[in-house]
Amino acid sequence: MAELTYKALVAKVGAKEKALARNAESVKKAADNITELADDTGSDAEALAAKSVDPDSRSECQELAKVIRGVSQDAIQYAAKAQDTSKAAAAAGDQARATHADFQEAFDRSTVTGLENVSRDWLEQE
Amino acid sequence: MATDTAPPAVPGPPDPPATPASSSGPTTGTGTGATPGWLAAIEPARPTTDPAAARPAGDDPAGKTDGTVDGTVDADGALDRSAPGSSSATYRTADDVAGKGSDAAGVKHKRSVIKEFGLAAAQRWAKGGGTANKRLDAKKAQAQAHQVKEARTSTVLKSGGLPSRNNSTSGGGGRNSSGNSQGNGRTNSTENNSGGAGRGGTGGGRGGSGSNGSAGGGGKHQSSGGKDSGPSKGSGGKGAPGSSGSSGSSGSSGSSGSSGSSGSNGSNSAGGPGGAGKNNGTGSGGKNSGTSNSSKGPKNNGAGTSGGSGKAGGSGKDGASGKQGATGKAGKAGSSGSSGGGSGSGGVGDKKAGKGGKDGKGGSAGSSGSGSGSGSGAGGKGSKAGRGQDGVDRRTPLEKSRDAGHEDGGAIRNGVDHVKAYAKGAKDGWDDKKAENAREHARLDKARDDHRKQQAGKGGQPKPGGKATPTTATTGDGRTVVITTDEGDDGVSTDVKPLMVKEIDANALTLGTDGARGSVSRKELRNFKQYERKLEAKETYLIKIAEACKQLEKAAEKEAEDCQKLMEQAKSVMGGENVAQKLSKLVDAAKSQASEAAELHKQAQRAAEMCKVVQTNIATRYAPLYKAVVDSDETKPAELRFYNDKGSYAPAA
Repeated sequence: MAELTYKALVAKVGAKEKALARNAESVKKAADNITELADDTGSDAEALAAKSVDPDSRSECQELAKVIRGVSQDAIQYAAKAQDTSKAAAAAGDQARATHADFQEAFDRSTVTGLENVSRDWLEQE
Repeated sequence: MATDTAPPAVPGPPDPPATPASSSGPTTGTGTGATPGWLAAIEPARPTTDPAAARPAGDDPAGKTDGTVDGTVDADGALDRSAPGSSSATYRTADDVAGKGSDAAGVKHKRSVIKEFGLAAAQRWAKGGGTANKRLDAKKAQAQAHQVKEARTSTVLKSGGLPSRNNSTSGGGGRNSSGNSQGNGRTNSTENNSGGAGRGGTGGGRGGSGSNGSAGGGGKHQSSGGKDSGPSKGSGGKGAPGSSGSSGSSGSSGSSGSSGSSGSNGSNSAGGPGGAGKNNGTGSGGKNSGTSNSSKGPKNNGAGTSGGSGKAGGSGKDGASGKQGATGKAGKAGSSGSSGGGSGSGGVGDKKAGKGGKDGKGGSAGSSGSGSGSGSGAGGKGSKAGRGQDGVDRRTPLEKSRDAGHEDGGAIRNGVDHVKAYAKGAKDGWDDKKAENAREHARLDKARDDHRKQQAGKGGQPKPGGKATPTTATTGDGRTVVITTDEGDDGVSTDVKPLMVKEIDANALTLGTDGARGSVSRKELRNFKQYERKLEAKETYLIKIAEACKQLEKAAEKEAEDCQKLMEQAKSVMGGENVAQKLSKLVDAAKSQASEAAELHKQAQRAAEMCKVVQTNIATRYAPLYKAVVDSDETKPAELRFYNDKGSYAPAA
């Protein structure tokens, strides 16, 4: 990757934010589905009990339900994390904009040749 | 009519020819339609003429005349009453002619009798008409008297000038006309009224008219009372007869009564001071004063002076004074006074009347005074009376026009304003309704759009009308089920989509309608095979999830790496520490997310494996049994207790 520029940074951060948000959303939906699956498995266990199926099978089924529920909870956690990451990306983007947008604008407007080579100390605030 | 009357009239002899005669009569009549109507009175006699005419010897002309007469009579009998005698005469002549031609004396005799009878009847009729007329006239006079007392008095005023004229010049009829004309000449409306009064007088007698005039003079304005004295002086004898006449007139006017009474009051009081003649005059004058006094005052003076001039000039001059009366019109001011009329009139009127009296005579003054008293009473009547005379009398034509214009203008303006109000109201109503309906339109449009969107959203699903069996579906049992859904019900659309049931099996109800939930499962687990199948499905699902989680994990790791790189790059750019800080946070988040993803992946994988284990175990346990069931000729084993015998029974040896 070439040298990072402000515009590239903002674009990347923005893309990350959006992608992560989308990801979080989809994971959340998946988590809901998995939760449903766990519930279904739990009801299966009850059905097995109703049929007086052997205890091993029933306990196995309940175990399975628990595991699946764990998956769904993990998925939800992951979604939350993804959301956090997205927010962090958004924050980074906002910060970048807040700090550097005006510089960028001024730079774009400037007609100074070779401005990119000017030392940044040259413009230091007194 | 002719035919109707004819049968009874004809004694006996009338022959068939009569009809032709009668028939011919009308025709001729029409031919000579110009014949005067005065012949009409003959009507009753006609039947006899018919036979005469019918005679062969009868002259055509005679018959014609008769016929014409009859025709005219029939046509407009009403006209004829006036001259019965002449009509009879003509009839006779005609009859005679006919009679000569015919020899039948008896017939003629009879005819004459009948004729006499008819004549008498006709005369009687005519008289009756006359009396009726008179009665009507009397009534009219009475009514007029009742209607406007003031009018009467006003007439008197004029008469003040007039009476002398009348006396000198006139007969009764003349008087009437003169009265009217005078009235016209002097003052507009009042004169007319006076004209009426005059008439009444004439009806009674001729002299009366003169008296009326004088009385009117006195009556009209007390000042006229003064006039009266003027004229009476001037004419002297005339004045006296006038007064007497007036008494006569008063008699006639007496019929008019009410006005008379007020007048009489005035006269009475006046009577004390004044002479008899004056009294009469004042009597009517009293009335006048009653109404007109207050306002008239000034006029009266004028009239009074005119009266004086009347003295000097004579009767003719009186006429002139009449003119002054006209000037009296100038009394408009008086009209204003009239408005004041009711109450105030008493005082002012009195004074003025007094003036008038002075001008004329002391007596007259007295009368005027009395008149004014009564006048105030009349004034009570109101501005109406006052206006009637005063306003009318004194306003100039221009002012009248102006007033009329004012009234009309007001009325028109009223109408215009009504129309304007209506128009404004209509506009308001229009706007209100428009706004209201606009809201309704907007709502309906929105509902329609929503409905269309909804339909479009259902993916080109055929319109409900297109379905052959819209709301019902037949189940396998042959039962008809009606299923509706409230999905997509926006509360506005009444378009309810019917649900098609594609199939119903032991576990689920499957719907064929798009947009509805595909199937409704009872989610009930009943047997091993179902459980096995469910576990299989779950396993595949969990495996998928595990793979997804794996990808997720990888992505998260990559993301974290990316973030890390980004942060490093940002840091490598000198400056921008704030951004670097945020970026480092982002890296942390990405890392934790990646670890979470790893966790999730692990968990998912475990779940999938677990599912597999469960499935395997259950299969291991029950698959052989199930296989046995499948292989057996039964769909179910017996109660499993049935197989619970652990003992071994050796085959029977």
